[in-house]
Amino acid sequence: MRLENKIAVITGAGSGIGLAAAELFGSEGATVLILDKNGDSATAAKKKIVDAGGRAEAYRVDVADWQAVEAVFARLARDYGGIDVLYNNASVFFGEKDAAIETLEAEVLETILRINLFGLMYCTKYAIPLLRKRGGGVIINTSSSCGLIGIPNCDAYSASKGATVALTRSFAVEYGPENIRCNCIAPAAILTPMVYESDLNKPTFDEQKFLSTGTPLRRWGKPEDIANIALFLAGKESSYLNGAIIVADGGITIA
Amino acid sequence: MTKGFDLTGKIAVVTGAGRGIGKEFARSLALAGADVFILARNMARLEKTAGELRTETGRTIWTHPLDVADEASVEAAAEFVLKTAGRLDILVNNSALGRGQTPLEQTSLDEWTTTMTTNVTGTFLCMKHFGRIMIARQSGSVINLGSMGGSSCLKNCCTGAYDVSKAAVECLTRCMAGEWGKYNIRVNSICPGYTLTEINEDFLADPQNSGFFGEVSRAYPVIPLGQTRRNGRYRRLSRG
Repeated sequence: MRLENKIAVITGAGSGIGLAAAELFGSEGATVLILDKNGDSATAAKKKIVDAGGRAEAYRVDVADWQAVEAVFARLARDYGGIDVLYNNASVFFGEKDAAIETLEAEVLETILRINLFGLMYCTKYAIPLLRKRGGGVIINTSSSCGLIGIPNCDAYSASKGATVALTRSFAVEYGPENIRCNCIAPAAILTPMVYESDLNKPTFDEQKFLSTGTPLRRWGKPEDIANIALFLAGKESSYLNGAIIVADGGITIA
Repeated sequence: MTKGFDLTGKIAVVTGAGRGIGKEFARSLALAGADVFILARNMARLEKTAGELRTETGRTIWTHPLDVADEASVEAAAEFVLKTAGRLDILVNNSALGRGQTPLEQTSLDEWTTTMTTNVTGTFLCMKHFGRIMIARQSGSVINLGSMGGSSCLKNCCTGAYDVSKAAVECLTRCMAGEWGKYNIRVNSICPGYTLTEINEDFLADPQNSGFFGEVSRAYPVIPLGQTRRNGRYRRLSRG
């Protein structure tokens, strides 16, 4: 098993890509520490992993609340000593409220940045000492096609995802010498609840056209597609990857 | 290799597979279950590598001469693959000329052209002829070799021609990923940093180049050099 004896923290692991990664990491031998603001989802995810014979624990935490993040990592330090993997996966996309800058409300901007950007920074800040305790480890960040190319009408989300790319490179340089590797996955068009929020729920969204003209591989991605990349980044097979941005979008950003 | 990298039943081509990273690509693919065509100009070395890989992996390893700069040679190799295996799932375009140490103002047109021909035209020709086998089956994965040098400059290393060729390979990768997605063929590139192989071990043994990694480690003070084999004969260099 590729993550035997590893302890992996995954934020937003109660649903979507995070849940797929949690199950995969669990099946590869990791102890999966599920952080989600929805306590029921976190508990359900834990149950899935445990029922499949794996090890997991669930924690209800809102990553946008730095005190809560500090408290949960203090608890992890007490219970586990250290961790090997931090997968910063938690994110929101507000399909109705996120917008072009001119119409974007300040409150919405702040909420999205607080969750997607500050949340990643808080978790990383408090995870670094725990990674260091295990002699190094892995940070996996989650950007998006929005962090790499211009996508209209979701400027708050784009800002958070562009910053995630920049921080991936900073963390890689800052903590590489301590054998803490930081890499980033930039997914798009993955069929999760979020894609309903960003695309499918919009009456103007033409799924056929999106897949046949905007997506070179002509299909939606699956959460497992991204979970497999996260597994690769968490494991020793990627031992010389540091500061990499892995774009997993069926080719959308280069089309 | 574990289940995440299971390539059982897959057919792969690795160009420039006689030594260095190419040989390790072939080894990894075979260890994951693929049967592999290893191609290169130097048949003697290729046969030796094939023998090693067969013994170690138990997979079928075919050899065929290939000069990626010569279209007739690429066509012949592609024909050999089609006749022998009838399909192709994975193409690793690894063949490349290494980086010289000639400052650009002293680089001859011949050196420039040779680098471009092998690294860029060679990748193009292999994608064209091996790609046709994949297009026919509407399935495949192409892995091109870019380089750290394709997107950043290491001062005092005089690798302009090489770096430009690798930037072109990355551009070609993006273009073809867009075009071939509709055939269900994925095209990606790997951009390695400094990786310790037999090729640059020779380079490092030259006293003239002894300061090279000092320069590298000052520019990229992050993690030790990559190596082509874990626990292999290549040592891991530490910084500084």
